[in-house]
Amino acid sequence: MGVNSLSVQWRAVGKRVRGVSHVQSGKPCQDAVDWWEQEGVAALVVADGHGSDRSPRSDVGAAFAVDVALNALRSLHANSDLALANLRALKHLADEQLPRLLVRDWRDRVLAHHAATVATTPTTLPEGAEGAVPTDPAGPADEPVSGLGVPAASADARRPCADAAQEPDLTPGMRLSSNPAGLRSFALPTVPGCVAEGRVRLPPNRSSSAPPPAPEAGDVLVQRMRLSGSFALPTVPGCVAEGRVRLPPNRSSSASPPAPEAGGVLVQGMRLSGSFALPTVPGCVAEGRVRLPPNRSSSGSPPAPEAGDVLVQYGSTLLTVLAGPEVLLFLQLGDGDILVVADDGTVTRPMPEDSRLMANETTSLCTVDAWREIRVALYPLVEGAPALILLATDGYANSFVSEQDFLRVGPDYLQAIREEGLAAVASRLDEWLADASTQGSGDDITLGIVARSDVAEGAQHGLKEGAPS
Amino acid sequence: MAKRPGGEMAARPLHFMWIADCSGSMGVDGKIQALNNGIREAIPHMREVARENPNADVLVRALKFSNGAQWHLAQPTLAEDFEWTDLAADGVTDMGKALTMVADQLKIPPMTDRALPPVLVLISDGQPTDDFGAGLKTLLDLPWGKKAVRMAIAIGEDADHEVLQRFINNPEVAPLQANNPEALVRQIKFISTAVLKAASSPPSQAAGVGPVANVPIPQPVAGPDDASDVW
Repeated sequence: MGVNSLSVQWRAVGKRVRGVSHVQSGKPCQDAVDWWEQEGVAALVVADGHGSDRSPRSDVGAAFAVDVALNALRSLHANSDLALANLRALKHLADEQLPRLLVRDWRDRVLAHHAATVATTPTTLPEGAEGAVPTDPAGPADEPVSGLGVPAASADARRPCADAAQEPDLTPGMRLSSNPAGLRSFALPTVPGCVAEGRVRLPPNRSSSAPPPAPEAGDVLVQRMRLSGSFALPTVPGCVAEGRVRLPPNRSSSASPPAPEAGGVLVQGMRLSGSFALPTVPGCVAEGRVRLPPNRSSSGSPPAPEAGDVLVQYGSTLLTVLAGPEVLLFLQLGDGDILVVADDGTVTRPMPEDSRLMANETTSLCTVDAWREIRVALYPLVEGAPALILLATDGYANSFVSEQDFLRVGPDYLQAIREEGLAAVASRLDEWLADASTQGSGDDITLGIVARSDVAEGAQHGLKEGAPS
Repeated sequence: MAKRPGGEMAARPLHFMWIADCSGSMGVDGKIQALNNGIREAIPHMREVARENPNADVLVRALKFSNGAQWHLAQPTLAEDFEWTDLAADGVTDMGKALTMVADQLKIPPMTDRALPPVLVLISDGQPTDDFGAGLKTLLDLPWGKKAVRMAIAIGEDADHEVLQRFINNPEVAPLQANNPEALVRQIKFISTAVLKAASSPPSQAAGVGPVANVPIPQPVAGPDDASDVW
C-alpha cells in the first residue's frame, strides 16, 4: 500500500465551511471537526449535525460527538498498543466497547447540556456562531478519560442547573424542582463529594400509566449506599436507569463500582445498572433527573420531552480515524465518506456500503441502539501505509456530478500535498470547500485529512490552521 | 498552484414527475382541460422556486396513462425550459402500468444516490383498471420509490381515495381534493411551489425517529368553501 509501516507517522488537518444554503436560511454550520497528534499517532473526527427542524441543537451535538470520540481515541491510544501483535485485542475493543462508549458519552454530554440549557434559557438555543465550539457544561473538551469505558466527569458541570427558586423543599435535605420544560430534578445533598448522576429512559413506544411518584425521604437508602427510591419511577417494563458514580476528589474506591445486585432491582420490570450501586463512601451526594412521559405532567408542570426526543435535538453523524504506525482504525455512524488514498493515487473505501444512507436520512448518534449502527474497520498496515486518509461530510460528495468525480479528490489532494505540503493545502481548504458548497450541494462541508508525515512534507508541527476557532 | 481537487461539480438533481390520468372520464366536464391549464399556470411559479435554489436542478417529466401508459415528456427537462403540451382524454385507467414505468426511471442507474428525493405527483379522477397493486409494489420496492415525495390530487368525488392514499403511503399526508377547476389549479400550484421547495432543500434527519416522510411536507392552503363544485 505504501511505505513500511514501522516508520510511519501521521499528520492531520481539517476544515469545515458553512453551506451556502445554511447562510441563506440563517442556520449555523452544523458540522464539526477536530484532531490530535501524539508521538506520530493521529486521530481525526468529523461530525455532521442533522439539518432537520427537529434537531435545532445539532451543531452542539456534532461538537460533542467530536469531543467524545477524540477523548475515547486518546484513551485507546494511551491504554492500548496500536500494534499488529495486538490486533485481536484492538478488534475486540473496537467492535465491542468503543461504539458503546462513544454513544454513551455523547448522550451524557447531550443530556447534561440540555438540562443546563433548559434550566437557564428554556426558549433560547445555545449560541452556535460559525467556527465556535459550543460550551460544554459537562466538562472541558480535553477532559481526560480515565480509561476506555470509564470516562471522567466534571461533577460541577454535570449538576442539574434548575432554578433554586422553583424548588420546593419536600423533605429535609431533598429538593424537588420543576423547570419550565417539565424536567423534574431532585438532589440529595447529604454530604458533598460523591456524586451519582443518571437518567431514566422510558423504552420506545411506551408510556407510563401514572406520573412518577414524588420521592420521599425513605426512598433514599443512604445507609445502604445505594440509590433506590429516587429512581423508582413508573412501573413500566423495560424502564432503564443509567448513570455513573463519581467519587469525591480525595477519595478512591477500593474497587470499581460493584456489580448490580439482585436487590438492585427496584421495581418490577425496571433494571438498575451497576453504576448506581455506589461504593460505600460516606458523604455521597446523589443527584438525578426524572423525565415524565409525554403528555403527562406532575403538579401542573408541562410535560417533559422523552430522552429520545432530547437526543434528536442534538442528532449527529460521526466519522473517525485513529492512525497508528501499524494499524488504522475507522468508525463511522451515518452518512459521509472515508477514503483511503494509496501512494499511486488509488482510492478505496474502508467501510462497507450502507444502502440505507440516502434521501437525506441517516443513522445517527441519537437513534435507539445507535452503537449497533456504528461501522468499524481495522486496517492492519501489513503491506505498508497509505499516503492519505480523507474524512468528509456528505455535503462534499453530493457536490460532485458522480462518484467518479468525487473520488478524484483522492489523487488530487495527494498531488497537491506532495507539491505544496500539507500546511499549504490546509490553507486552501476554506476556498475549495466553499466553492464546492456553492457549485454543488449547498450543504455544510467538512474535510479532514490525515497524511503520512513523509507525504505531508513541509507541514508545520502542531499545525492547526484549519481548526474551528 | 494546485487546482481545486475533484472532478466536475453540479447542483443535485431533483426529478419531478407529473403522472396524469388521461382516461375517458377526464374528458367529462372539462377536467383534462383544467389539468392542462393548471400545469401551464404553475410553470412560472415552478421556475421561480427552481431559481431560488441554485443547489438543486429541478428536472421535470410527465407520464400519462389511460390504455397503458406512455411518457408525455420523456426527457428530464430543466424547469427553466419546461413547457406544457396539452393532454387529451380517452380510454381506461391503467395506473399500475404508469407506476411501473415511473419505477423504471427511479432505479440506480439511471438515478444516482446523490439525487434529491424525487417528487411524484399522481393526478386521477377514477379507479385503476389494471393491477395497481403490482405497479405500486414495483415502485415502493425501490429505494428511490420509497424515498420519493409522493403526492396525489383527487379530481372529483369519484376519485379512488384509498388507491391514492396507498400511493402516498404516508398516513400523515392525504390526497389533495379538487372538485372544480379553480381548486385543481390551486392544488397543482401548491405542489409546484411549496412541495417542490421543501423537496429541493431537504434537511438531513435521523432515520426512524421522525415523521414517516423523509421530506417535511408543508400543509396545503385551504381554498374557499366552493359552492361551485362541478366534479
